[in-house]
Amino acid sequence: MIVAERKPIEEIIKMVEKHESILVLGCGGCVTVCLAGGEKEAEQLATTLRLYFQKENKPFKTITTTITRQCDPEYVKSVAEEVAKVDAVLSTACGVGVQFMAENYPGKWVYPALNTKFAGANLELGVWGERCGLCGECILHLTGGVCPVIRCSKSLLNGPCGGSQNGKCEVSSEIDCAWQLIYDRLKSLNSLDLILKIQPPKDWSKARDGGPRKVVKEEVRL
Amino acid sequence: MAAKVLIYQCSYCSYLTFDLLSQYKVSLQDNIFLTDLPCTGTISVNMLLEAVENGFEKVLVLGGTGNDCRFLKGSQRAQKRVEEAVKILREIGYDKASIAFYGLKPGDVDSLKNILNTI
Amino acid sequence: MTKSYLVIGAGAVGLQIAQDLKENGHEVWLVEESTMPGGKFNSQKPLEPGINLAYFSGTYHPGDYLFTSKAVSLMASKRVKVLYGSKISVIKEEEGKFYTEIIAPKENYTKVFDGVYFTPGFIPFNPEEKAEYLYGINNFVLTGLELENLLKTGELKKNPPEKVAFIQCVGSRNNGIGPGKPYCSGFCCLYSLKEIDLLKKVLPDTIVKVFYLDLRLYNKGAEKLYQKAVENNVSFIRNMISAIKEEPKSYKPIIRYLNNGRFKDELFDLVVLAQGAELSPNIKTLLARLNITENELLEFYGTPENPHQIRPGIYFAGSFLNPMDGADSMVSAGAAAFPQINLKESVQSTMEIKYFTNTGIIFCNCRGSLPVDELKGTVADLPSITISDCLNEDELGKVRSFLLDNQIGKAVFAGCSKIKIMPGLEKLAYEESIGARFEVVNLKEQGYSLYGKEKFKAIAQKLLAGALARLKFSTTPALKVKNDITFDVVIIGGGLAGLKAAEALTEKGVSVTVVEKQDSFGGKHKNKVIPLEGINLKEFIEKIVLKLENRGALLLKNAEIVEVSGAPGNYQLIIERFGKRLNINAAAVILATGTQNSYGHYRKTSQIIFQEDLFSSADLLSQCDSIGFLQCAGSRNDLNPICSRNCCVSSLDAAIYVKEKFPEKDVFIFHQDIMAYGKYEYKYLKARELGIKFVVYNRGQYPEIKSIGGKIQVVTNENYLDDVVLDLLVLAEGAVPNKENEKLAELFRVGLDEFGFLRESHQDISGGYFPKWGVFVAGEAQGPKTVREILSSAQNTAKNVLTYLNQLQNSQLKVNYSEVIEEKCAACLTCVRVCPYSVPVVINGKNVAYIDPISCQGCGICASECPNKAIVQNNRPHQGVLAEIRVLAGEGK
Repeated sequence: MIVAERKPIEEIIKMVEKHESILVLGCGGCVTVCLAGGEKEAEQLATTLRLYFQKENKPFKTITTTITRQCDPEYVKSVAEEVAKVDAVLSTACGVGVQFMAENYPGKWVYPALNTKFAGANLELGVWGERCGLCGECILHLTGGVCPVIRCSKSLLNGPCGGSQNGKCEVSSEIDCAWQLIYDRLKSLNSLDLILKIQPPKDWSKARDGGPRKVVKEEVRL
Repeated sequence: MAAKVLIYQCSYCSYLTFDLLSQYKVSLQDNIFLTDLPCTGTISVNMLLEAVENGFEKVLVLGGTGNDCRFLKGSQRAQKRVEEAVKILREIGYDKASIAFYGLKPGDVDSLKNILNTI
Repeated sequence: MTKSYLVIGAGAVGLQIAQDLKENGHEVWLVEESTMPGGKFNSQKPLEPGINLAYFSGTYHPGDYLFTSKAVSLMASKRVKVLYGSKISVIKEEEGKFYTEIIAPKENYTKVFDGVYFTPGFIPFNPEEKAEYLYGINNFVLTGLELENLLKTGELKKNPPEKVAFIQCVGSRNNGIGPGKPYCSGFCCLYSLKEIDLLKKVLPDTIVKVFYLDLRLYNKGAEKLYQKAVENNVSFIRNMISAIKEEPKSYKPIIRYLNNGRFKDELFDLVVLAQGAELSPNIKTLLARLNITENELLEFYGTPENPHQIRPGIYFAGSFLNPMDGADSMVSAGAAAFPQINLKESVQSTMEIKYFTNTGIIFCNCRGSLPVDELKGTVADLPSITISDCLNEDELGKVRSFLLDNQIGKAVFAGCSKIKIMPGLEKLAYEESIGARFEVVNLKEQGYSLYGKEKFKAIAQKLLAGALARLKFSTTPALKVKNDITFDVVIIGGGLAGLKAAEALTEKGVSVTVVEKQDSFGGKHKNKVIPLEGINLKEFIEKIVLKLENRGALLLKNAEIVEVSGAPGNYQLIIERFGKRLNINAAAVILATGTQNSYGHYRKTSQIIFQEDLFSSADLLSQCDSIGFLQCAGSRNDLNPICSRNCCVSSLDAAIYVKEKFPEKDVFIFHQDIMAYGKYEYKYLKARELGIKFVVYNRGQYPEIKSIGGKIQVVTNENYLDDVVLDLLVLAEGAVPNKENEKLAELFRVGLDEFGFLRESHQDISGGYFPKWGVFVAGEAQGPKTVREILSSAQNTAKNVLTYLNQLQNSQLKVNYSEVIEEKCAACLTCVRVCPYSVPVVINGKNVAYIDPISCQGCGICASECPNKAIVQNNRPHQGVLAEIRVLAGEGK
């Protein structure tokens, strides 16, 4: 899932302060699940902004609604009526949703209320961790299911650097050394031989170095 | 006119304490309004902000103490939500209103009186 | 089989028994002399202000409304008749039936019952009967209740006393001489401490001295109050005062007492008497009609099997059975009701619920004390009704017809506290099969009393408008059925409490699994052969185990619970045994993990042993000429701050056993305060009569123990006594919470108290219930208990479980619960993670959360945390709260 968190209020205020009415648009997808931009957060953000402009004695109106996903055209188009009523849209979706809204509503400002952080998993209630680097060519079968691309601070593919100490990364003692995790995992799978295999340099053109990517699934297209 | 105060009680603890208060000859001013929730843990940040938005200058959430909550961590949850709401008010520079959480044991009239004295 | 029962006395205990009997299908008549329910818990009775304080052990709770709510619920039921201000003029026992004549205010009844419960509680001893206290003659001599009232009303502050004396045991522990009773009234030490606590809060500089015989602070929370009193410089003087005189000029009381062997006269500004428990004369007359003498009652302690039954059909419960505090009386009530509770046939009711669409207002002027008429019609143009008394059957009838005639589906009740009235209103609607939602505006405690006469109308109008606004968004209750229930009960802990609960449940046909961690059953008591409270526990336990085996109960030794999932009605437990895992489904779980022994700082030698050693081997006694018992060796110290309750009774029993068998032997008991509370006092009296010597040592100052020439020497600080030389010294081990409790609390999501015992939903009145549905506590897991108390607690818990199983298999009109809007659910698991009781689940393959309405407790935490607002809390939806805020904040109306 895509994990995001709300931008500082101050930053959001600066985006929307030139408008008198906005649509705070929640998204029922990943950002709902990561508690950043579902209906609840959208409503809370709307109240916060109204309170701010009330204090500033500026006219400011909000409409709040949430759609199933902001990354599907059908859902995005379903809010045309609400969008027409306001000066601008404040989206609590990830960067995808914000862009998709903007693409679909050419005459409107669509602002991001969130900082989109990473593709990750829910570690425990209220804590999320990064797990996927979206590199385009998965090598998890070689590393025992621990991704060196995103979980090693340096994205090293052939073992740890000298900064690996007591299983922790030199960047921060809160970060596990990915190569320690890989070692432990391969050991428990009785497959330490894999670790000796030299990985050739990664083909980063399959990642976003090759420019924006697109996936096409031909058999469903008609 | 005096600032409007909204007090959220917990049905299981502070509600009882308010019931008791009347036996101790305490009186409230008419700017103070009481309402109750099944558990203060059910309060959301938005509810708190909405109360401020609608004109309450003081919003108090009166829950239980850490270890005797009917819903185990309801009061602690309420406290965290209050902290978040307070943080938001600070971030937007809204200083006309305040939000606070107090945890007191059911029946602890003395603490309640002290809290009411700070209003 | 449905039977009819007469319950005499509508105090806490009577109400509880009536409720239990009614819930299980019996017809109940509850007859109360006074005009209100609640008995001693009722703080609104004019003559007994705030007496609730005295009889609650843990907290300063107002008892009245909790019992009002119970009473209203009972009165709303058609199987119950509650008669206030009524008397039983005739009672006759004929062939197991009880023929009665009852004089009630409006009409007289004759009625035949199948059984009678005596729950009249007690009346406070009248200190005027003991002229030496000058009560009633001197204005500076008060009762505890009078002091409490002066404190509450603030009178005392106007004329603050500088020196106050508290005198304990007024009317109690009279040694059989003069007015009063020989037993210890059990609650007065605690209640004096509470009053001192209040007094010190109001007047911190007052000098307080307490004259007492033993400070019987055996309740869990009492030690803390004592410590606080000591910190507040309260002096405790162990002394039976010899007289109170008057200072001739000021008329102030002078107390004469023995101080270091000499009389001392000390002047006080106030003397407060701790009244004991006395029997009501009317009840004595009734008992006489049933051929039960006062002495029989005083000495009645029941059998271990039937602790509450004095004769078939006649039961005693609560402080009438034995002076006790609130918490213990609730347990006693449940245990007494147990014999009448049976497992019902599993029939899902086919109740048709009437749903009405109108909204109405029910005003209650609370016996004319609330000016509700000035509100009528000023807030909303809705149908309304005004009643005057919720404890009056006719007035409740008016509410019933109001709902039916006006087709009311939602109503605001504007009167007293919702804690008093809400359960009764819901019951009332339920009995008429109306699915109605009520909101309460507390015009009394939180309206008129707090805002005063002038501001009342404006505030009340706003609160009423707010409640109406809120009500618009709440949904009406729905009939819910639990589908997937099993009928097994798992009991964790195979000690005395667990086994007794298992015995009680299997007797009623419930199938039971007992999970015991150790490789034998019986826990701490399994080897005790010297009778404890008249029971040879070794035999007793063996008998129960045999019985359980015959009844087909699954008894698992060496087994430990490791995982819990599922919801009430269908818990899935994983039990580990010899490294293997066992899955067991359970409708209910009883936690009966008991306590562990605390040996203080002592170690066992051949001549210094602990009570458990002595009780399991009677031979030890024949080998010695002198034997001593050291109390509190493992209690009331740095390792275990509280009283373990069981050890004084154990030592008394053992000492009496020795002395009766071997009168020539010297027996000593070294103690701080002999905790022979209630009727245990008779044991103390007997021990003294037998010549057992009691040696007091000061709190915490344990006597020095020396081993000299094959003997044990106990150094006493008493100047009248030489050091005592013994052959055997028995130390009283203490009871500390089981270390497992923490794990169990985590597994079952129940709370722990400050000491580490399992915490009930309300220490004083819950009677063994946890807030969590389907999990129960029995025995010492909740707090230290004597053997009889453990048995009572187990029986009470069995009653709770039976009541719960009966509720579970019938459909319920569920009022407060949260519901998932499936279309909006993102299956994010937030609700699953935040629910305090693990009710929500995401159904596999369906990808939406489901909240079982029967198990849901309606706190609404999930609803407020749900990121997509896909959960609606039907009693306080967000829109409702917002609507109310807007009304309250709005100007004008």
